[in-house]
Amino acid sequence: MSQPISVQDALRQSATDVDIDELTRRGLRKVKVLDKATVFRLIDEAVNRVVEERLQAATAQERQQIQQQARQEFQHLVKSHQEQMQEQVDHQVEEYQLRIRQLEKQVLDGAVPGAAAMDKEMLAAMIREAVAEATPRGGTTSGDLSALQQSIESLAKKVGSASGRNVIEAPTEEALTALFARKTDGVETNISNVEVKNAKANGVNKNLAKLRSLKKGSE
Amino acid sequence: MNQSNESNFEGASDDADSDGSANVNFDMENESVSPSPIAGRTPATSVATRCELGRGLDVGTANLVSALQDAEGNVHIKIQRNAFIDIDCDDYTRNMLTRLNVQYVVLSNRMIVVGDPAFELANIFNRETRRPMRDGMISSDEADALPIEKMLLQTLLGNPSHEGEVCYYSVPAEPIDADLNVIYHQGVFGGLLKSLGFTGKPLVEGHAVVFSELAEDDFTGIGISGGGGMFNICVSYKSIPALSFSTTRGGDWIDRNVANVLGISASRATSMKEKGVDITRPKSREEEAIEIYYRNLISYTLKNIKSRFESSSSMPNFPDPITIVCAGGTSLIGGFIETFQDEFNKINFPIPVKEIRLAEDPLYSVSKGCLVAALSEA
Repeated sequence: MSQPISVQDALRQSATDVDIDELTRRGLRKVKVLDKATVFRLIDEAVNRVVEERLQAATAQERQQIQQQARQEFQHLVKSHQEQMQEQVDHQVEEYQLRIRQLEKQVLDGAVPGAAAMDKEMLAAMIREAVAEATPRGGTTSGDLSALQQSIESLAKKVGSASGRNVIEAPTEEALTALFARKTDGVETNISNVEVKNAKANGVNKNLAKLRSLKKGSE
Repeated sequence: MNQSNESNFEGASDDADSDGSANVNFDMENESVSPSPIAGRTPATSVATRCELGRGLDVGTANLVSALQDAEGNVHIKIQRNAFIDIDCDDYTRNMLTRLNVQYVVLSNRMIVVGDPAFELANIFNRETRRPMRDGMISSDEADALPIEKMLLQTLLGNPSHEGEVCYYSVPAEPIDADLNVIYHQGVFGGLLKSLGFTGKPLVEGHAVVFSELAEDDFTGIGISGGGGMFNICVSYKSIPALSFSTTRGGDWIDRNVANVLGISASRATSMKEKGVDITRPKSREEEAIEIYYRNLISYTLKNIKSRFESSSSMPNFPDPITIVCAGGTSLIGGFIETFQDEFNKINFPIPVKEIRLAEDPLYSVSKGCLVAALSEA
């Protein structure tokens, strides 16, 4: 008697883990996703359907026929499900990618509202929030989509980190002027009454003349 | 060359002049010897002086230095230690500080001593000074940094000769070993100068060194400014910067490490370092510690310069060997250039170099370079 087949083990052995970044590097933009529960459900459905029809008068030849039909039915259901899932996943991936491209552009253009006052943590949080908003809705959850989301989260962090330097801009002149005025008005100090250390140094006229002649020469 | 303007610099007279210079009162005397270790600067007699329009300002982690040129071509420098310390606020302390001419500010019911006296007080009580800047940038850790910084700048610059007088101020180049934000720092100081009535214009620190020290070489070569928080490097060809960057190790990094190994405060380590140590001839365990970290800092800087040069696509092909000039407070220690040369010889530097030398006025070099930039616009 043959050993019972463990579908879970078979799937695990047949499957290969590939990082989403690796797929992107290979130029792949679409992934096929099939979760474990669905596989079991499809198998059950195929077997039940065939077995119910033929159960009662099953000769050896018929049993073989049943197996054959079950296999065909299973393959048909898998194919149909894959197509359905693929559409959803493709759509989801495109949604993620579009959202990230939009965010990156906004961040780099400084068009994110309040970006001038943001630090990289805030930007990273904002992008994470956007990724969460784009999480699959309804019954399309799967481990692969989670992996995809993790990958996008990682990208969001990278965007946050890289944009820290580009996005944080100088505060407005008005804000700074108000800040400095507020901080020092009416402060008790003798600072203007005490002379600071001072010294004399050689003049810079020679340097100035040289610089001007260089500027003239280049004009 | 000069423009005619009134000035209120350090309580300037209101006399107008017709020869194009600005009339300012500038303290022409050197500081007097202080009887007390924490004594401040006695106000010297102010002499009305005609000065050219345009100021230079070195915004350093350790020191703030301003430069101004008078009509006779003398450059007047003012220096403030960029530090402060807070002490208990009471009438006795207030009177004592006033008598000793020590600069103080009262903020949030704490008396804050600013500038050199803060540094001296910190040494006496083995405390750390508080610093408005860290690693070459405005510090986010110090809530009092901005008002203190504004007051310190006021003492250095006074009022502008006219509203919007140009003041070039030094800013660090983008650091290659830290994700620090130069843009914010630059904006803060631009705004601060504006609040004082100046038009602030940023100049990369290494480029300022080139302007003040490499005129003889047609402003071609490498300017290095070794400051408290950073080393700033600029490769210039005919006054045009080809490559500028900074590293976030400077004099403070040495102080912190020396303080750690010797179990003293960083302020005390700074004080030891500034008391005539020659790093080519260390005479004690403390001096040996200083020498070790100086050598490491120089080696680190040179390796970074080499690596940056080799990876940059914008490096000019210099037709002749160039000069490297070192400036900044960190280069003032005895034996700096010898140690620099020593470490330089250990690496295969990618550009032919004819000379490595110290700036004429290492501590004033950046402010003078900023002054050159400002005057060139007048």
